[in-house]
Order: sequence, then C-alpha cells, then structure tokens
Amino acid sequence: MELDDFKAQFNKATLQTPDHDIHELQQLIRNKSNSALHRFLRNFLVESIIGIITLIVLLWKVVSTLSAIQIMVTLAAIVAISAYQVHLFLPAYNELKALSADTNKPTRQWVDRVVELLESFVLRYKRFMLWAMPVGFLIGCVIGFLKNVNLQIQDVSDVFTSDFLLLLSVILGLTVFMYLLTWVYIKTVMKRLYTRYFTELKDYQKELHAMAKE
Amino acid sequence: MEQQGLHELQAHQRLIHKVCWIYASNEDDRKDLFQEILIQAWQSYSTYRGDSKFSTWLYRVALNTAMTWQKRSQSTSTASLPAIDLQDDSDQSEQREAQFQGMYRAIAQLNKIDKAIVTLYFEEYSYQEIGETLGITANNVAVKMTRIKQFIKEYMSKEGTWN
Repeated sequence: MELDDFKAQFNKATLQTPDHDIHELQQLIRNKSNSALHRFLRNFLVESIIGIITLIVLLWKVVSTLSAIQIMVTLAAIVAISAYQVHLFLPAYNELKALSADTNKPTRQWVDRVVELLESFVLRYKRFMLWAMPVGFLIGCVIGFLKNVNLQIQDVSDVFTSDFLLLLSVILGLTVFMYLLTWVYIKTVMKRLYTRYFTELKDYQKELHAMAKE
Repeated sequence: MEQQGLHELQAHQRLIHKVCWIYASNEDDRKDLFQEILIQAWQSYSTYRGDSKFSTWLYRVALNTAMTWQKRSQSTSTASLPAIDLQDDSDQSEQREAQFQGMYRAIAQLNKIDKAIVTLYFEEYSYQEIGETLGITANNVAVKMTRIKQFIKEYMSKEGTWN
C-alpha cells in the first residue's frame, strides 16, 4: 500500500467521526485553551492579579500603623515599580496576544517571532524579580524592624551604637537571604509557570530550522 | 461576524477532524485537539481577510495549533483508525485492513512537522503550497516527502504489514 492509496481510505475512515452542531461548537469554544502560548499568557495574567491582590491585602493590614508620610512614600514606591512593570511587560504581552491570533504569517516566521518575544520576556522577568522581590521584602522588613526597635540617632556618633550595627547586620543578612529565596522562586515557580512552555516552543523552532537547512 | 465564523467553522469541521486524526492517536487527545483548534480558529477569525480560500486559512490555523499542541498521553503504538468497508473478498480485505492500520501507526510515529506535510499532501497541496504554509522551500518539502515515504516503508516492513 502506498501513501496515495492510504489517502482515500483515510478520508473514508475519518468520516466516521460525527460532526458537531452549532451549539456543541459554541460549548467547546467557551472552554479554555491549553496551547503553550495561551497557557504562558494566562499564567502571567493570573500571577499579576495575585500580586496585585496580595499587595492590596498587605497595604490594608499595615496602613493603619503607618504615618501619613510613610503611606505617601510607600504608595509612591508602589506606583513607580508598577509603572516600570507595565513598561517592561505590557508591550510584549500585547504583541504575544496579537501573535496568538495571527494566522497570516508562515509557521516558521510565526514561531521565530514568538520565541524571540518569549525569550526577552522571560529574561526581563528574571531580572526584574531578582531585584524587585528582595527589595520589596527588605523594605517591608526594615519598616517592621524600625517600628519595633527604638533607635536614637541624633548625632553622627550614634550610628556606631550597637542598635544601629544590629540593624545594619539584619539588613545585610536579609538582603542575602531574600536574594537566595528569589533564586529558588525563579528556579521552581518560573519553570512551572513559564519556562516549560517556552522550551516547548523553542524545541519546535529548532525542528523547523533544522528542516529548512536540509 | 461571530455567527458567520461559527457557520464557516461548522461547514469545514471535517478538515479539523482530519488534522486531529493525524496528530492524535486516541479519542481523548482527538477531542482535546479538536477543541484547541476550534478555539484558535474562532479567536483568529477576524484575521481572515478572504484573500485565500477559507479551507486554506483553516488548514494553516489547524496545523499551527496541532504542531504547538502538547498531547496528554504519549502513546502512539496503539494508534488505530476505525475499520472501514474495503469491498473486497475477506482474505484480501483483512490484509488491506492490516496495511491500512500499519500505515496509520507509521504516520503516528512521524514528528509534528512531517505530520503537517503528510496532512497537506493528502489534501493535494503542491510542494510549493506546502512550503509556503510552513515557511520552508519546495525543495525541503520534496526531500522530506521522500524520507517520510521511506520511513513508512521501513516501519511497516518491520511490523510485517508492508506488501
């Protein structure tokens, strides 16, 4: 049997799959997509929403214990980091969303662009997390520490008091700890949420390029 | 627009079924992939400009989706098509059925890109058209087709279904 003989038989055999009516199709469309790119984008969206909710809850908890100036400084920091986040990720996110619905590009060009965008997206995300998470944690810890330790700094010589040196040691220790914690986060959570989908598309791109070189 | 897209998809759903039969070897995977292609086509319908046939556009969507889709089960060795009436005497019919199933199992072993080439080949696309759809040259397609046929022959010979 040659491939051409198989073709006719195959077409006949696949006719045995029943067709769906309009209502069944509508029902199927309402379900979620599981493609690598869609899952990547969905995970990012869900993670962003969780981040925003967590931030609101934390602010809600501490806002009553902060002074007016502390609230303003905290809000300014949040707005600045959020604006930077939007600047970093929104254009790439929008382009990836548009690409997920783009059917006019040939497959190889489509995959090339998707992989290129995802690569820079993942890299930016890692870099961002590596400074934003430790800094965020650290600011929280310093605020907490300052509220519970009564430092008396009225003179330059006061900075050499044991309380100040203790604060400095705690800050340094926390910086190293948060940085390591962020690495663990990146290694585990990022792999689960993003990297595996990116790898999937990258492997596919490699196959296409290998074929084009033949 | 939405209703029009849905009606077009309903009219051309057989095409999606064919892609699913090539890319997925069991019922659950086929259902999963059918839904995936349907969602993708539905979301992309606004990008269909009408400068090619709807079926050509839908093939592109379906294959792009199938190639980036990850099936839930990895098994391909048990892939089988529904039995069909070959209108032959029983001995020959059995042999043809075995060959038919053997070739389907061989196709199930191909990589995702080779499956795309086979799918378009079944739809009488020229090598040039297959190349344009996948972003490779017609020469690449010709070389691939020769290798695919060779692979199928070797696979079926090992299985004892090639004749």
